[in-house]
Amino acid sequence: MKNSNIIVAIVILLTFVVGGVTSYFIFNDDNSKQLELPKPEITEGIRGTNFGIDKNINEETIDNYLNRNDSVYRDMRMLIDEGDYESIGGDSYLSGIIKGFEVVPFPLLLNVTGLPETVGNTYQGPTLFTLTDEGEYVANYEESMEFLEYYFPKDKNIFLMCGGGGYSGMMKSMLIELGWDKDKIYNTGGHWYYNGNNNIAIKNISSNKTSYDFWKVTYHDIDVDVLHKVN
Amino acid sequence: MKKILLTLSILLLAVIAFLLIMHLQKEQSFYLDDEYYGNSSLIELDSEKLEALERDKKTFIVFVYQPLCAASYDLDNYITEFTNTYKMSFYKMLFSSIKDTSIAEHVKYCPSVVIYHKGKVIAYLDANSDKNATHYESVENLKKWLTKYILLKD
Repeated sequence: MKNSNIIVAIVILLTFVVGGVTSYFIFNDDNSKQLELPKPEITEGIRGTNFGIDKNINEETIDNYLNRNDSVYRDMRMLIDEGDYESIGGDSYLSGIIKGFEVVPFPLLLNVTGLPETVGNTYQGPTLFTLTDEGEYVANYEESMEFLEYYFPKDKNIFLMCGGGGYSGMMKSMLIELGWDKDKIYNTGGHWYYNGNNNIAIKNISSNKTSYDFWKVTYHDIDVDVLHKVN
Repeated sequence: MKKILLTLSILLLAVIAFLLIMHLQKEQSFYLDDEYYGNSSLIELDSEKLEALERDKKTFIVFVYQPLCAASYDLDNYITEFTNTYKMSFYKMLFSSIKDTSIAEHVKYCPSVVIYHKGKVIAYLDANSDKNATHYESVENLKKWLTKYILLKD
């Protein structure tokens, strides 16, 4: 009788142990699949020197690094850029995005300069920060830094992207200058060069009509009217 | 005396080798087809016209660009200056239009300049390579790269 009790107790104990171990492996499956992140490293050529695009995590490899719970994904374009890109054969509308990326429009964060003359100016309204001639980032609103820390959390890896890699390069420089860890920020390049399996098409052309499914985009607009200007 | 002769022979051989290399390099350079000299222009190109040029075994240059790209804008300026100076015509093609063309087999990022010889791609600038980085920096550096392959006319 005593022996059978002991056996039952052992079986129950073993059931708990086996169940616990199995659960651990099942519920940690996502983590085990995550690739170890290489340290940010600038790629070769002008893509590296001009934009700081990453050598290891970029348009060709980003699919391997999506859906990570230790990372955030930010696309720095506007839905509709105010620059006249049609005048030079371009498109001012955001035409596609990679699954998992949320749009935080860079021109609303910082004054953008240096666009081609024919394009004119991009968004010229109020921005959260101003880059001064001395190269200093100055907050224009009391909440500016809080906004950055909310959308670009310091404890996560930050994957940046835009159209060609320019806005995301500027965003990376800005974050590093403002105290973010440079080893956690990756400029993954431009959506124009992306041919992976996670594209979400925003631009549609049917019967010679073009439309944009902006409802598919998680877009973080900035309403400065509700913010408090720094005096 | 023997030593002097030996030294002279080596020197002579070096000079001959140098001249030979120079000659071979010059041999590798070529002229674009005649219609691309005499006028300075950047002609818009689409995939259909590119295929026709390849079929006709033409020798020409294509600038691959993307309007929203700041780097494309700089290179556009250098190319315009170059074509104006040497009265030459290049084609220009949107990056989004090169898909399914022979250019896409080589050019992965823009901007780029692609040199065709008798309908085949023989050289291109790679925006993702340190080897070409300086060629994007100024019209002089661009000229250095172009004239490795093509000959200019006065």
